[in-house]
Amino acid sequence: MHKRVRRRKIRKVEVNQELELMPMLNVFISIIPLLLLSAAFVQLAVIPTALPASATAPVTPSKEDAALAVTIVIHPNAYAVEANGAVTSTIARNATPRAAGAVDAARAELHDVLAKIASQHPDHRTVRIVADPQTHYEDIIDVMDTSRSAGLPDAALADADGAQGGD
Amino acid sequence: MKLRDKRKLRWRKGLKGSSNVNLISMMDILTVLLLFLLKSYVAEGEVMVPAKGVTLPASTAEQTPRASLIVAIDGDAIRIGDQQVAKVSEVNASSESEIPGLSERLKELRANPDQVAPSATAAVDPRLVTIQGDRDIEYRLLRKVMVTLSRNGFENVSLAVLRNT
Repeated sequence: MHKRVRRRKIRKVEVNQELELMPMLNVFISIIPLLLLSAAFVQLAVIPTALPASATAPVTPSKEDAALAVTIVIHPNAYAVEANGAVTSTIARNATPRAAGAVDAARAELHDVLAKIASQHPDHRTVRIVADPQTHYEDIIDVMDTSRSAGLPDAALADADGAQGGD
Repeated sequence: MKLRDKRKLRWRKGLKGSSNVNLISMMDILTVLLLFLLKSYVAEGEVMVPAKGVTLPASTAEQTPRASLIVAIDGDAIRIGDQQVAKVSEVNASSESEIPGLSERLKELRANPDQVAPSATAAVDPRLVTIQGDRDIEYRLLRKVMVTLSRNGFENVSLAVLRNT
């Protein structure tokens, strides 16, 4: 009799050791749909830009920008950096095919030129990007990235004929 | 008959045994799933999904997208939402700097601002517009779209890009 009672007790303790998982499961099941709704599997970002200012009023440069107008012209086979209308440097690039090495070299050189301008004019933030009509969108984004990393974060698009807007 | 009875008995026995479901494996799956979802959780800004058929260019930009009107440009059409408003071939062929189809749709949207971004959770800036352009489109096309947008009162233009991580 004694023996039997003891055995039963041991069994009881074993049963109590099992984890109570149902509440946790309930929490998980309610959290997962919530997370699924606000999960972004593709991380997107945006680049705010100024328009080719034909319809809107022309962009009036702020005081510190008045001294300097940096323009990057994207030609089919070169980048030209202009400051106040005068070409300061031209960088050869290879648009087709987009060979990774060549693109990177041109980009690094452009970065150096822009970083130099940015360090000389620390208050200056704006850069105008003038592109040929056939320029690929990706190349424009590349140039915007380069100028942002060089310290000129505000990019504005302009026309290939040099006049901002003009149609 | 006898065999059948035996089987029934065995089945009943089995049922009795499985009344206690083993939840541990399910918990394992849910925990992994939870971690994975937490990793791609977006706490701020609007969840934006790239439009179908558009391969966005990659960029180092950091700014998170906001709820806005989305104009998608791919290889053959310009779309607002699911609605095609212009064909790329026609736009490239015309010498006008504005796109009539797009302009028309934008005017409608100006009249009914509720339709601009119906799925948005936050308030939508009515002048803000996000362009989702395929990385291979040409600048002349992008420019026409931007001119059309600005002439119709959508002046704050953002370009959507894939975030490099």
